[in-house]
Amino acid sequence: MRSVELVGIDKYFPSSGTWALIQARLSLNPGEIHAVVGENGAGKTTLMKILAGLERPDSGQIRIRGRTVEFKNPAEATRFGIGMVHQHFMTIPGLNAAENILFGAEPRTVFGLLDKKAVLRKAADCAAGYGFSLDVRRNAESLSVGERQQVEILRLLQKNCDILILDEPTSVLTDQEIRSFFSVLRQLKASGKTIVIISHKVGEIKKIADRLSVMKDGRFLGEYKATDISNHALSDLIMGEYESPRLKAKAFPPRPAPTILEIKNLSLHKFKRKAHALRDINLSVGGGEILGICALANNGLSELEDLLAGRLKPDEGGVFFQGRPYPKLRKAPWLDGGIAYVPSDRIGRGSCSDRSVAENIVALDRGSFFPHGLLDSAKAQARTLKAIQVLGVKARPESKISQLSGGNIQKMILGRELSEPPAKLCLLCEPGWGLDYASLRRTYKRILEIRSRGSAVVLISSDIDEIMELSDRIAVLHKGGLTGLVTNGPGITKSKLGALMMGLENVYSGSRGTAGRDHE
Amino acid sequence: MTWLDTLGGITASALEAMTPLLLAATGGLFTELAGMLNIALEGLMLAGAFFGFAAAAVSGSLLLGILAGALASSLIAWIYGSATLRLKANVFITGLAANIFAPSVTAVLSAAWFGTRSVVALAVPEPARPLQTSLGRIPVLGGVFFSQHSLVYLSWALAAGAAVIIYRSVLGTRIRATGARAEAVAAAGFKPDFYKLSAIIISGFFCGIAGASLSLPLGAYVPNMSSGRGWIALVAIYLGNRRPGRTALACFVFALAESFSNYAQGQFGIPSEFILAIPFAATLIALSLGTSAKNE
Amino acid sequence: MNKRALGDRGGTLVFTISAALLSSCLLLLFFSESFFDSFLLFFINPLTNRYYLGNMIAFMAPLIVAGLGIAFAFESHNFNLGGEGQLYSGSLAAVLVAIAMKGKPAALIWLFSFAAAAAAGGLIGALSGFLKRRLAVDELISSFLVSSIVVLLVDFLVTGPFQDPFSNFQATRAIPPAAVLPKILPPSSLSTGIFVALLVLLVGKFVLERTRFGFELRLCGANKDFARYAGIDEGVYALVPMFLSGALHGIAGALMIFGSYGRLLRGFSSGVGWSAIAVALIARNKPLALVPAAAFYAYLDSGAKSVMIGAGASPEIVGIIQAVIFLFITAARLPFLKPPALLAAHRRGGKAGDRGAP
Repeated sequence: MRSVELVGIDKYFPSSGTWALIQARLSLNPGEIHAVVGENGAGKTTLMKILAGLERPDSGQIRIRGRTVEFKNPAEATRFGIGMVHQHFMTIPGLNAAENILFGAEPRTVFGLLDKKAVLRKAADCAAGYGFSLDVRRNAESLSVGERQQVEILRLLQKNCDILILDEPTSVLTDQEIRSFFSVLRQLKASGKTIVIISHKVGEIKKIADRLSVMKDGRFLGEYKATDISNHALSDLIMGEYESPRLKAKAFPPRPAPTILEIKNLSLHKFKRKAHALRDINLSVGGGEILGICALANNGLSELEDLLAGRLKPDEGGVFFQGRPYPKLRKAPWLDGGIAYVPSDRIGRGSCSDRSVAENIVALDRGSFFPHGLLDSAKAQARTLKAIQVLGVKARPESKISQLSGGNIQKMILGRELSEPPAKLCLLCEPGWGLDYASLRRTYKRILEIRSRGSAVVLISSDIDEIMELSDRIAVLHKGGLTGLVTNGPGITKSKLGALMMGLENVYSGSRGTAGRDHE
Repeated sequence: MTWLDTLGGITASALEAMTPLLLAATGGLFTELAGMLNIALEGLMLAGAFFGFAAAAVSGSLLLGILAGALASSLIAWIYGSATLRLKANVFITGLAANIFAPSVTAVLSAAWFGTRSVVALAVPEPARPLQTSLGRIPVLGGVFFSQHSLVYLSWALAAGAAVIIYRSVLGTRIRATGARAEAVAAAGFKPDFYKLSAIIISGFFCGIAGASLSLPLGAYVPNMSSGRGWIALVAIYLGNRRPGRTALACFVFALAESFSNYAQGQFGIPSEFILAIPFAATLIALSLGTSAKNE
Repeated sequence: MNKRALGDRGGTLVFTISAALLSSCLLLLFFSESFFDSFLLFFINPLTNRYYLGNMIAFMAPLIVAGLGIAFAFESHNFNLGGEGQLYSGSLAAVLVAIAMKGKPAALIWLFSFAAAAAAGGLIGALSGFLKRRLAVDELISSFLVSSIVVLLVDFLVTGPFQDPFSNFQATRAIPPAAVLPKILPPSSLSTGIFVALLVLLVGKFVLERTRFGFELRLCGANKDFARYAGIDEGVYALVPMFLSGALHGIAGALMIFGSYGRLLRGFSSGVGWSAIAVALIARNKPLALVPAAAFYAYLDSGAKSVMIGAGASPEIVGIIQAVIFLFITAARLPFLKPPALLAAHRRGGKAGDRGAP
């Protein structure tokens, strides 16, 4: 009998107006390691959150050992032996590993005092019983990422969970940690536990999983035995081979121009406890060129964005704009020396939610809109209308941003950053996010137009279609390092890029200095 | 008088001056560890001073006075905590409410009960000096450590007890976990707000005793007698890195500054305003240096 | 949004004002000799009695100006708890300048005295801004500590070096009689200072809402990340708003001296620095709303003084009412009322970002 079956699961998120899951399903055999694979946003994590009681499905059934159940909260799922380790660990600093493992179920002596000895003993027994090498006396702060993960798993095991869901468990681990993590998983499997791994890393999945389920755009694509499918076939399945519905035209030929943005030997060693943030990145972008940079989640894309936005300082190397150090404070895109920047965090960084559309546009260029220190309303109004018209934002200049839908906010930001005259450098992160088909076409057209007028465009995106659609050259990051810097063309396929993003291949030849733009 | 006696005298009075600071800082430690900056310590202390004194004067019992002070402060803390957590009000503004409520309500009640809005001096039992006749006879050390009144020793016991609660009890563990990672507490099926409220009420309890330790040994209630000690306690917690032992040490240093300035005033006739300002100044300087050192 | 977000809901305001009025009644019921008499004295007398009405309007002047100072700080997301010290230092500077300029034309005295008050208060406020920017010291604590020191220092100066040798008060010498602002409604202390306050308010409103500086200041307060994204140096907005906040408190203090007291008396402020916070919170930092908010607060204060003299209640009941205001004014939920389904639905449909949005 199947130990877990999810059937016909639908989930709609009203806040973003998207269907995260459409008739999704999954079935688990007892005592197997099962991988749920798919691109970012494929619905893997949402499906697993439903199984762990963290989200409730709009429709569909959950069956545990043949019995239909409904979970109102994670505690109810735990009662059925289901537990989830999140991508962001819930380790509590200030407590030791044992106290973390037994948090909420601590052995006590009298007067509500902790039985410290029993806590340590119980946690140590639990760790030893599953072959973990963790020293449970250590403080949570001193634990490595891999050890924290062990704490999280032990916390579930201690609650007698026998179905463990692990969300992207290897994304924060070093290669060495991954090896020992896999041996832990095999040990757990040997003791009869069922393990679900959410991942998009084909190579690893093939090594550890017995079976795998592939998801795409919230739908279930198929279930495979790990031994029955090749790495490349799987990668193609994840990335999708179907024809992109998007505009397919290089309407404007690129015009070579001098280098505008240069990233030299850039490294970021440790950031937010990640073992590898960015390693020795060398890239340069010239006028009239679009450089696409893509990667899977947690591979350095967001760190690269923060570096180019001036929010992080590199540990080594530097960034140069038109030969000078990257400006500390950004100028509005339409000004001389300005930079257009569409951030991936559109609500927190790209807009100010309790201000009007007009104020969100005026904010970028106080110098021009406040001549002599006072607001020039007519000028502000004109610029606002200009920005609104670029993509047809459905709002009035005085509407508050908080009243706009996510897609409209994105259009406002794009319109503001890409309006006339275009900036010399455009840093566009996930520009297509939340846009409908028509706006997407207009956005892409505008980006290509800006390129043809001599601007350098850096396109940071996890959407591979977008990257292939727009880029002249494509840089691929894997684990914070470049695995490829290729010229976009007929030879570049999704499966090729997928292999680079997953680290299955590495075609990056450029060491220091030679990694610049190929001018041939 | 030798320099040793002078030093001993200053240290002895520092230990006495440390008592309210230590108790308030210990209370504040709970809220700090639960992840809240509790600026209400000052008001809670003042309430404890008044109600503790009033109860002791009426009942003639020191113990009842201390308990009443603790209870009254806990009650105010409960109101302040509920507004902050249940009504989701801004913790600094509600803290301000507590700080403004305490001197006002004590003045109004003082006028109603004792007929005066200024100093209330009534016969209250003087706290005993339990060790004075035995260990107190040891030269120098006896005078410094063993001639103190009972509230001084009580504060040490309470501070030690608090450390046990913080590190050894289930409640303390949960409070610390709430401050360190509230979402983990919620994920484990507990309510972080419950532990935050508990921490606020505990801080009220300790501040109440801290206030009583100001008014009872003095035998009088003086308006605004907490005179910034709640704020100093906050900084002591901060400089003590939120650890009980180091916080106590920081309290001692501040108390030493206070008792030294009192001594200096007696010796050199420094205006009282300067003496009163010294703790604030010391706190500000310590805060500035401490923060910049941590940022290095 | 962040831990220091201040509420922004009409229901909260109505609830808070009701709670303040209700607690006033309860206090009168318990702490005055005759409830009915004191009720009249508290609620009616300030509006009908020429003396109390004048004093009430006179008290609005410092509340409006200091409240504007708090609004400048809060709008830029700086917590200024040092209003008292800034007010005292400003007052002292103004008094000293005025005394030194004895015999000069009144207009000149006013100009220099108020400038001195603004500079002194501003520097005290800016100190906390500086400590925040340079040493990352929390301005909330540092402004309070600095203020406490300054208050004691001014107390010392007033009773020591600058004490009026011919007076029994703990006070400085009087400012030149010519420099005292003309009285409007004698025998109350209402003076032309109220017009000065309104003028300052209009200038403040203009700066905050119409100028580039005000725009950047409010942007930094609303969303630091976005301000930085837009190329604003947010460090400036830790320092300058604190200076302005202090300067306005200084001017508020000078207004009290030049309008009512004529000299600096020890403890003359009796908590205007704190009351200004209540006023600014009631007004939600909107400059024009400061006028009714200050009126409401001054009304309560005037009522309490009227009861104190007429029926022997303690004036500190105002402190308790103020505490009630502080307790509820930032509440995001209201007690006793579960958010009705209708309201919740409206909120979902209308304003997003009730709590979820950053």
